[in-house]
Amino acid sequence: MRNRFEDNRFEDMVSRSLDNVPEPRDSEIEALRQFAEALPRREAPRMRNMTYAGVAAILVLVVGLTVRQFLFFGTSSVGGQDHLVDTLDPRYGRCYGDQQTVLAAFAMDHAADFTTHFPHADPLHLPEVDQPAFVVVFAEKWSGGDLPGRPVGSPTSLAYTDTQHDVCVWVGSADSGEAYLFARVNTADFAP
Amino acid sequence: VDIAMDDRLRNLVTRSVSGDGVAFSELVEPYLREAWSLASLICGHRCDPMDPMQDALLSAWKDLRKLREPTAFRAWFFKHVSRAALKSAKNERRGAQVEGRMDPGEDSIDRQVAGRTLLRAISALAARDRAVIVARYYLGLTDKETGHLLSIPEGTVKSRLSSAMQRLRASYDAEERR
Repeated sequence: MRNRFEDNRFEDMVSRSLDNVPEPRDSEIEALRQFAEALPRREAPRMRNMTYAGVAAILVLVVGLTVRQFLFFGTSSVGGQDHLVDTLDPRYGRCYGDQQTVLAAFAMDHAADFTTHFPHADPLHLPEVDQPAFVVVFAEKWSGGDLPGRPVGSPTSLAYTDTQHDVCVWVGSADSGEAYLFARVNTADFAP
Repeated sequence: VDIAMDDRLRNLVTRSVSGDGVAFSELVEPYLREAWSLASLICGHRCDPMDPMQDALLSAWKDLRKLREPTAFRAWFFKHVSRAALKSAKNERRGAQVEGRMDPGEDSIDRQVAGRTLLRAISALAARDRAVIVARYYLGLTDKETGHLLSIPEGTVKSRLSSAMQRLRASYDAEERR
């Protein structure tokens, strides 16, 4: 058989054979044409919509967070640093955050974490140190008269330095916890 | 005429990239039949050409932004078709064996039968051998163009085509003896 097909003749035969390859039916070409036509609708718009939806979601999130930040959170400064004031937490009110200016208000997983946040503060005498807690740092000396809750320590007539503040710690849940107030807490290097 | 065609191609590509499905359909339509046959030849008797064709259309659509020269769309699109067909050949799914049509025209019956035998022999080759043979003898591409189509170096095209043709001859002889 090979004798009948010299190299060039064999190549010619290959070419001719391939010219006879079956062609697609018209219905198949039409199906492919419709498939091509539908691709932008199936792919691009979906991608664009996803992009728009994604951008919209991000914008809503950013706006929401910004609004939340400005409406319900504030930043204040202790020791020259800005700190978060979480006014949304119900323990904020329990700890008298709404009674005078607050420098910082934040939650702690455990009451025992207090010294982590206030590295130079004297150890507090807190019960249930494993309980979740909420801290409110007052900007000025407590002026609410007799300290509510269970005061620990007492404000003095001495002027406070920039790193001394009265602090309320709410220990326990919002419904069943208890407030502890501490006077002249050393807030140097304080970090929420 | 060429300039007008080029402008039309550029316009269709631009519109397609912007999400115009009708434009994309118009862009690919002139090449669909040839592309279908290309896919059919490369993926062989084990696959349905419609599968790689749809894959190729999808990948071409997604990559259309990367097409630097719209006037080279045909070669670029066939590259997508070849790639999809080779991939389908690996999957080895279903489909009818590639059979040449019996043309009552000028070819003798013997030649037609020989052509069909040769097509069966081509179908029996490995997909990458089929691809290089189809690129040369069906699309009529040069070594350089074939290399571009199949994403292989030009030197590899030469060696692969040579060995593929040797295997085709052997396969053809085997078919003839059956």
